[in-house]
Amino acid sequence: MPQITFVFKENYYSQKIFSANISVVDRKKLYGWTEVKHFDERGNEVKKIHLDSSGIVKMEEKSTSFQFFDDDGNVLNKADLIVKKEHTTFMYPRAPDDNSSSFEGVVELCYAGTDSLLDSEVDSVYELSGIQTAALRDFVGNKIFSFPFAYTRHSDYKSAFLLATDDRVFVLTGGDCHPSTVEINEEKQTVSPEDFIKLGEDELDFNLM
Amino acid sequence: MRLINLSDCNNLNATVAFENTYHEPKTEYRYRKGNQEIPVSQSRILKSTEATSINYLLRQCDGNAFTLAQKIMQSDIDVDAERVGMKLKELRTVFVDGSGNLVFNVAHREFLYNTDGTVKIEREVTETIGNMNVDDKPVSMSGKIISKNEAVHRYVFAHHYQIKPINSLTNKFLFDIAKELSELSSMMYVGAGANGDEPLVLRKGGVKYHGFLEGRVFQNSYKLLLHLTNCELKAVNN
Repeated sequence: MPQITFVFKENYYSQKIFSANISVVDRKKLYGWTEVKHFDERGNEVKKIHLDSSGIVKMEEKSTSFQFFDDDGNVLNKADLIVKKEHTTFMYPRAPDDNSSSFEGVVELCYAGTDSLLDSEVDSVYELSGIQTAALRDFVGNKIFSFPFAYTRHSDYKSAFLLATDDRVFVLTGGDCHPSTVEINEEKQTVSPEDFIKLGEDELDFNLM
Repeated sequence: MRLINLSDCNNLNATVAFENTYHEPKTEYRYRKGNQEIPVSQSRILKSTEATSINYLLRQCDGNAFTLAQKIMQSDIDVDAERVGMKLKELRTVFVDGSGNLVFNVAHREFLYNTDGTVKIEREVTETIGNMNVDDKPVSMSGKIISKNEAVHRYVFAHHYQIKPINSLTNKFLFDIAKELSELSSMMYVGAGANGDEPLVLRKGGVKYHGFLEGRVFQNSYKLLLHLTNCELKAVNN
């Protein structure tokens, strides 16, 4: 089980350090799951596979992969490719020489608000465990902390949040959402019935040709 | 931009726009040819055929992994040298029995499993029906609120959508909702269906989610957000 170490710098002279084991919380283990199975006429289970366009080659569902090729049809190694990422505003951009994961070194915590967490599309939930968990739970309390998180080396940092419930400490990770603001209608002067003008008898011209 | 029908606590409803606030950054791969950076082409290739898959070969060896390992070392039966690496275009999905023969009359059953892996229910395959279309009953604000801080400590919000006006009337309508929620510093549970108490399903076959509306008001602008959750924040062994 990987271990993560947090540091929270209270001020220039004082800091708190906590280490904890981190394990993923699988939704299946909380609520169960569903699965579709396939059966033939006799009730025997059958397997879903793929056929290629010729109809000759049978392959299991996970027996294909994507491969990069150059213009001449030669296979390219992914490690040799130049990666161009679409420009986005990452909350935690990686420094050019930084390729570490969050389990190497120490992760610095910052205070975060509920809005920051609500602006994150949470894709993974991790539970923290270990001997310092109780102290960490007391330290976190009702607050929310954020930090950059990369489970593996070289991967982009995700936004991560540290928060505690009554008896547990969790890390939530996800991508940043960017809701836009909507301009409020400009206040318009209200028109009262007294401001209405009576329509005159000959005011409308019906010679509409 | 998609439209939905949203109803406020006074049962006033309006058609408003609804859009995702998360955007996955696109990644492009290039290779270097001389001084040029040229985009790569990508193709799906075959890694192994059904007849060279470990599961199939294991069945041929009556489940004896040791026998299979010996056969692999002797004759590379796990590699179809003529076909591995071939580029694949269109793939068709078919069903085969234990002997690898095609089966045409297939019945599909859905199994619901408990957390311990035991079967809870076996049933006909059910497909969820989207209930947030503009022609459906409005997505209704239930009047049930929860503070934002309590909500983030209780639920895991996996998706976030922004509700936007489509004209000045709906701008006022949405602003009033956002203002009310912002002043309460709370989120309100929203539901779909005739009684407004059903979980939200964005599209046919989609996942069921519980939805909460949140409003943020600034000096001359606002945000009305719909947060979706299908999981509580709790540990596995609770």
